[in-house]
Amino acid sequence: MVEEIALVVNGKPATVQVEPRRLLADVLREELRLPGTHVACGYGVCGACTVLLDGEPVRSCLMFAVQAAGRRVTTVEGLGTAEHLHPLQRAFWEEHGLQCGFCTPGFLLTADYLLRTNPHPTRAEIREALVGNICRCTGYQFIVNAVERAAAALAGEAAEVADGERP
Amino acid sequence: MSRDATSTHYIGERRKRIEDVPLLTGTGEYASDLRFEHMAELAIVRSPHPHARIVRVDAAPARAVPGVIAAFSARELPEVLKPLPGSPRAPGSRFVAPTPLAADVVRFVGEPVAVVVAADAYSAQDGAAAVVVEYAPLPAVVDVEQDPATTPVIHDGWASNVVDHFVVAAGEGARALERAPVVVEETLAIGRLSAQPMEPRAVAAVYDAAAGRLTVYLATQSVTQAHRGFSEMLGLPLERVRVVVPNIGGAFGVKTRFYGEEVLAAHLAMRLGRPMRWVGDRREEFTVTNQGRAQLHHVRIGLDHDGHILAFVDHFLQDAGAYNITASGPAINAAITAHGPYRIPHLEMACDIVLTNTTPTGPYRGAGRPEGAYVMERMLDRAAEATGLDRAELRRRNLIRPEELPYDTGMKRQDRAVVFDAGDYPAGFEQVVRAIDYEGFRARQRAERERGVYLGIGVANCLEMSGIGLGDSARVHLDASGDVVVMTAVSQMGQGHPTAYAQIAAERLGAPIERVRVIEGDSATGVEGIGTFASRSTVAAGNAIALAAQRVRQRLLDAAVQQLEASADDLEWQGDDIVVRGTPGRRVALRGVVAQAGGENIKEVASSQGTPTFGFQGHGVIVAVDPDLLTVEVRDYVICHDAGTVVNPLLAEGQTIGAAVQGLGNVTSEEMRYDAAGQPLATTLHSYVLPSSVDTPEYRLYEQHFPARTNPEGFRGLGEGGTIPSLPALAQAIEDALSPFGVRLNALPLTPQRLSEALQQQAGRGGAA
Amino acid sequence: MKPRAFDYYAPASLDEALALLAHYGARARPLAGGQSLVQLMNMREVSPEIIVDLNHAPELVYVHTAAGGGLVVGAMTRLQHLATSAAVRGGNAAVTQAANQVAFPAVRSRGTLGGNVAHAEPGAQLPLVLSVLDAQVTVARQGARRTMPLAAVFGSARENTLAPEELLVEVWIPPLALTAGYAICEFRRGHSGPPLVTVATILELDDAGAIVTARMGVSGASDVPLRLREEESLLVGQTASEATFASIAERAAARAQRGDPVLAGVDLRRRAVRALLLRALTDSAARATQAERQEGL
Repeated sequence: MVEEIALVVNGKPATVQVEPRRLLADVLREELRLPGTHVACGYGVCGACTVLLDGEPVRSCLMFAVQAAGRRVTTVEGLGTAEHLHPLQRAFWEEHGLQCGFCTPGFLLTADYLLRTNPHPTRAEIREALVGNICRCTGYQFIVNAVERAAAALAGEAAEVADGERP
Repeated sequence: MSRDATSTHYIGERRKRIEDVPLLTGTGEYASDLRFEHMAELAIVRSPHPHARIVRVDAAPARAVPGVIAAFSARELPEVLKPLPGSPRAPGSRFVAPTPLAADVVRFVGEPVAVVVAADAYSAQDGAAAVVVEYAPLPAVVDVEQDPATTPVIHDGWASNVVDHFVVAAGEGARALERAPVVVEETLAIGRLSAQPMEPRAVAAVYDAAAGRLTVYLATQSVTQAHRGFSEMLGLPLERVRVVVPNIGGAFGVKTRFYGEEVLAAHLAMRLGRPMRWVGDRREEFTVTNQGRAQLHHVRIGLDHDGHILAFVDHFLQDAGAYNITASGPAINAAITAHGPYRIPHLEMACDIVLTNTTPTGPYRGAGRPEGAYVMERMLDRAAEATGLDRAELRRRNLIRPEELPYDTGMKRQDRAVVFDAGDYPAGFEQVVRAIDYEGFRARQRAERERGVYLGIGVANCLEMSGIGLGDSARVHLDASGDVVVMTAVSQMGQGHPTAYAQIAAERLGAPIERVRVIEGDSATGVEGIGTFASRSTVAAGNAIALAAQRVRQRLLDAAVQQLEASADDLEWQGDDIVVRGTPGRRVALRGVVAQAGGENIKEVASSQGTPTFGFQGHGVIVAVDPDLLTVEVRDYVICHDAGTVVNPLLAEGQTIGAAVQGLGNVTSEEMRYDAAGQPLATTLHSYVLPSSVDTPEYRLYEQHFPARTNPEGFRGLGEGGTIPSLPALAQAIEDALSPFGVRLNALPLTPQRLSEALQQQAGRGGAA
Repeated sequence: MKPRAFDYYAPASLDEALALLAHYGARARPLAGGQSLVQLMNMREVSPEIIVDLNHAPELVYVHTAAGGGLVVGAMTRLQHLATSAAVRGGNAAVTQAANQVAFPAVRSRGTLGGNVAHAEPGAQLPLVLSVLDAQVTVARQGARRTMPLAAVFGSARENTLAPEELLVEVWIPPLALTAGYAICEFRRGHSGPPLVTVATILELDDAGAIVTARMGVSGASDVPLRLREEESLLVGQTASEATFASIAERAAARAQRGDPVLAGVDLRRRAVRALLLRALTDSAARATQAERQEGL
């Protein structure tokens, strides 16, 4: 039983033919050639596979790809590129918020959701928001530094835009 | 070219990493991301029994599953039915490795029995589920303490399950204990753990039949060892095998050895004529990938009445699991590290390495050093009780003073004396004591107890031995355009080698760092070394790189000095030219200088020289233990460490914090436990709980910088130091917090369940619960 | 691991879904948020032949105010919606609290009320809190509906009492009195792990500090959420005090029977029940008192 599904991934329409049991994580990685989403545990605990579904974080290893039909998916590749890094990617870079990098895409997208819903989080709120993402390398401290830095950068950008609108 | 007035000061610079952008944008490739045309995927059939004879394997049902290409039992792959190659080990030890698939007997739950090849991973797993295996269960050995008269032997023809025995001694060893006025005895246990890197093990293999060349993409910590091993296992000459290491998603010691899946992937790529990939899952990370720690120590410490250590005697058992592939390393490290930064005139560390029907053990973050530090530090705590001295004061009295360095411990490792080279241990310890406010703590503890809050404090020290087995080579290659390529044979799994090594090369060469690129993890470079583990890479590869870079620089200088008629100290590399500093008109194109020095390029290969170095690290921690739920919250954590000459402080801090958090998890939430029947009880992240962002504190770091005296650059490794003293510091603090209940905590871990058991036992003895 | 193959249906309406379940019976499983079912399928602990995806049936997503206060919630309402909705908070703030405690945002964005309840996981917050509130559920099958107490959904650990062709479609949640104080306290080994024991208490006090109504339950200490009815009747009429609460907590702790050797044995769960119940009762009483003052009583 193979289904054809159409979805939008990182702003671009995509059509794939998949068995219903193929997980969204695997379809993103294989059929759609976007291997930035990593599968670390495969059962929804570690958060490495987190992507955004219509802007909200989901565990892509706990969704069948067929369930994403007609939806908008954002992966780390859609967050920013080498030419145009998202402030979170830049902040993780500046603050050494990654070591092996395997968990990093999941953290970036979870942090993106956090900053969109709570633009000025305290360190405790950042730690709380990231509790569903496991990192075995960094010990989290520099990740928290990175999210703080990104929050400030995004607030600065927002302030610039607001300033620009003043007469 | 001068180092002082130029912009080529890179060693010591807090610099963000060169390699991060691909990792941040999802384009960095790990083994499981690699795709090749016609690639097939493997799935492994594994033993559900801890010990059993294999009666029959029927792979035929698997071959009928849609998507399955082939399926094999051990007997159907005779070419690779030989023991896996192993890590270097001590002479005299009995090395026993599994075959890639078990043929007659399985010896731990998870041991591979059959392999299925399919068009995709899903079908491969369907196929694996269809393979029929008949087993005849045998009695399982689970305890490391074994009576040879009654315990079944795991490997046919052996007298017992003891595979190795060694003694590390100094002075008169155990005899000196008889003279000690105060003797304290304890049994200390460090339970089994699982490294749990976020990336499950994975491998891809491609065979070019026309050229007879095999390429294996493997997340290995030792590319040279892997290269030799594949050549040996597959019967291919070295020049026809290439091992390429992609990005590694964490390793922590468990990706140093050979596993059967890698050999199977390589062999089947050759046999079936198509690329093969195997990607493990999280359950396999628990049951098949090397586990760690698992030591049982019977210790006696002898002191005088003033608390000076006279003798330290430890007879301990290392649980090797079902095969002795990598267990010796951690055992020896434990024996040497127990000494710590203290004066110990007489020492005897005797170890039996014992097999059980469990997953094989090997190096895991610290690789025996945390166990060694745990044992010494906890015995110092017991000694403090016995002598009536404060725990910190007892340590002070025994810390080796700077004027006593270099300090020959009297121990020997691989026939070389173990000598502590440089540092100021008392100053480091005082830094910790001050920063954690050790003096003011008791008053706080009393006040908080009245509010029902149970605080505890722990302080512990270690010397992190690093830079073993120096001799790795590195190549530095400068071409006429000014591009510099550095090649090493270590692997990076997140420590930042591409950046740190570029910093070293750029500074020693006098080159702008933007021109420097580091290539690791490719056997085709021809550069060899023993790999990344034991915090050795920066010392081993870093020194080789520095030396090679200096040689390149010297050749460049010799040529430039001639052309510019200036002295070497006045020369500077600027852009594409070598110029005389201060007189920009006097310059010569780099291209011309390189041409004169070496033709199209200048290249140098160098090997690192030196012996191990020992770096001090002290931890101080304050915890709050919930007296009912027995959960542990870290309120403050202070670390003082001496990393010698630090290449990049940002990376150094990252390693230290990351290592310390692993130690925190090791003590408070992680436990790899087996039941009496040999079944692993923690095989998911639900039951093996890793620390989260909410469980971890903000670490406060302090530094000392005493360059190592045993290698030219003064580097020290620091990848594991953050874990080493964390085990005893946390244990001490937790025991201190629960001291009103009178429990003595000798065994790790100290999860709420283990604390509950300890309190119950205490209650059974008539104590308060 | 990867799940086994299955036939997949995504019915566009509840009626279609029920028809499929009626047709396939035990060969089919309904798929709600997937946070529990897909986890089990990926580990191959559960391998249904047929999956009936409920995510396209619009009739199951709603939050209404019930007549007489309280809430009527469709089973496919997402946990994140429950956690953030003003209507839910206004109807019963304890449910808002419980929803917020479930896992992480990435789980709540997909997880559903019906799925969370039907999964019957020991230690889970919503099954416990809703049992304690005496919530009711509507269970539908093709051509029929029945209503029953939510507590009757739970058969054993991770097992519900629904027949294969049945679907939990709606939850009725009674209102929370304005002067009630509630608390939901958890015991976890670490925050990346699930709650092992959860305790929920709801108290109302009179102005003399005596307990007028008491609701209490514990999850994770037995196979199904345990309503502490005896302890409730013992509390009614007593003055809220630490000594009273401690003795109730001691009594309730003895009822813990569930344990595992790695995460938490029976003894540890008893300690947890005792400690959490004491804390929860104390917090509930404090909040009830504060709520009374705010209401001007």
